[in-house]
Amino acid sequence: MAAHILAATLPIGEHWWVIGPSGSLWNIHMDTVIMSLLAAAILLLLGLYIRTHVTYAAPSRMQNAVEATMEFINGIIEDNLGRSPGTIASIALTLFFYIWVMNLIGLLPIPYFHSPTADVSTTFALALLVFVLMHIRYIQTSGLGAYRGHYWTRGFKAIVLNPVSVLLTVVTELSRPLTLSFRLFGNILAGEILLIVAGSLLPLEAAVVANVLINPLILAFGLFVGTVQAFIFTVLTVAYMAIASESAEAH
Amino acid sequence: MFELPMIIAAAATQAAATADAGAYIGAGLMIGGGAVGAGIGDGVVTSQLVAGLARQPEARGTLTTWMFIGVGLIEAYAVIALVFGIIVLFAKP
Repeated sequence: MAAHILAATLPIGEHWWVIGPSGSLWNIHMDTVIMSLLAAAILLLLGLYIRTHVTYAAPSRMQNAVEATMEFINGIIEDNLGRSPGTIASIALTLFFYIWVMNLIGLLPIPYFHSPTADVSTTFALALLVFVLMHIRYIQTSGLGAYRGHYWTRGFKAIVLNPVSVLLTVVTELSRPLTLSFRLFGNILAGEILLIVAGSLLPLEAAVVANVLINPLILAFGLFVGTVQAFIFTVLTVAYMAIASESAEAH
Repeated sequence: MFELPMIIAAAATQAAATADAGAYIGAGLMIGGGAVGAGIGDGVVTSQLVAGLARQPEARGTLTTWMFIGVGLIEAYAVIALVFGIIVLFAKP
């Protein structure tokens, strides 16, 4: 579509509305903020619409789809946690739908639309949220004493092992938000780069060929990757919450 | 000639040309290495999926779900390598 070629005039990784000094870390990518607010608005409207039209008798197709998704993710939570989902279900489902809509917004052939998850700020914010939630869950489950006990233990024999244990635990805990954020960011950015490259691969006279042949393939791939990555983020969040929720006696 | 959206500037000096060449080779190695690793990992996961399906076709739903989880986790590092390759290629730190 010509819109892809139009949007392709931006260099990769550049944003068209930046508040603050460009090129430094301390700026706000306002276009990402607007896109993520738009995704949240879409989700809210969809949720309100389904909520006002919910029926037990003959559910509509959209209600069926949403219920099927919720059952699926609830099943994953039950598998991992071993008991019925509570607060974790809200967190996991919100994350799944939000990340899914954010991934898919970048595929629309509207100029100047790009996925907010193609910006490392968004994905790192989400991963940081999961990290903070995990540690709060640790302290909630086992109390402050056992939280410190993950890192080191008292005792004479433990003096040599304590630095190793602290180092290993810190590295493990720090690697989780890093890999979560970069996994999502890289996958969605690769999808957008594919779109740009596909739009600019052929000369403009042959752009019709690109529109009909190549773009559907790349859009389908982007759709698939967006769904899978949202699902992976959710599953990993649930798994980390499960790790944080197991009590100390389980070891 | 078609216009690439990324303007690849011509290197004026020998040092800049060497840096450009190094960036191209480095990015190619990064992306290639990531792709090889992801290919091997995905192959192992899918072969185990097929073996499990051959034993027990009723477990199709669960096994396929876990295959997608495995593929997503494995390709994470290939994609991280891709992102670093793109940074090296275009931003040339």
